[in-house]
Amino acid sequence: MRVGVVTFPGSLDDRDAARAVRAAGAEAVALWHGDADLHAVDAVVLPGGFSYGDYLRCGAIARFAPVMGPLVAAADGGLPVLGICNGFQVLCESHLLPGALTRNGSRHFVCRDQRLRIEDTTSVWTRDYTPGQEIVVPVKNGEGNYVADESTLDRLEGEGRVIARYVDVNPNGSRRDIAGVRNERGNVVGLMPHPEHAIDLLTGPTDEGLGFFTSVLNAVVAA
Amino acid sequence: VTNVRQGKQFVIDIDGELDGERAALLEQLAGELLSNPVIEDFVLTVAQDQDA
Repeated sequence: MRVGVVTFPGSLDDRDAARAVRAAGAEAVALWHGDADLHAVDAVVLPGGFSYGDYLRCGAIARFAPVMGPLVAAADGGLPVLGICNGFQVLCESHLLPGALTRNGSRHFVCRDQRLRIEDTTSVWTRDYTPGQEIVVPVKNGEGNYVADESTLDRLEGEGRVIARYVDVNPNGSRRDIAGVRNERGNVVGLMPHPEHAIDLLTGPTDEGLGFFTSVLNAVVAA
Repeated sequence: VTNVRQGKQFVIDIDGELDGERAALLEQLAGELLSNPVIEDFVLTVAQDQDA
């Protein structure tokens, strides 16, 4: 199985994302923002960072990158796509996920090991977790405050599309403690915390983030 | 003080007259790139050429 990891100008976590893909047992394929070709990958990770310097709004310019044309079309067709942090912001700006990510409620950049509760295990990126399972992975963002109008939030909750919630501390003021959401089909997931930084105890606080990457591997192999 | 407003302002110059087609393009630019309608509102106002 081949998982593409997109590098935009200003991406930071593409190497860790690729490492997490390999740790899960898949092949990591480097995709370039300026190349409008997904090179026949089976899934894509949009990594964290500051694409295009976060100018205008986070993710607003990345949305127009050449690679996003085929990516949006493939995601609409069912390709598994995980957007982490800045990648989540790109997915919202691309309208693949509802809502938007705004400046943290505290107005400060937050970097900490964060407890999450996995709420939905039907998505292709969370199926290896158990419903209600708590994991600890790093969160690091200045603009991770998830907002959407009340009817959108109600719909997301009603359809089980909140995939993870902050536990103990809400680091950024996100509505209803939302850390991640998925699309209706469950192939597109956006997550503000960083599972790719928690895949082994050598480099992370836990190895509990690896499940996102084994999930997609198992989902694609089973399909 | 009865009101304070902080916001982004983009000053956009165009060549020629602002006809319907160009106005529609600017409207699209404002709504799809310069602002995110999920979290922002925008108002488009037309000013005369400052250099004229």
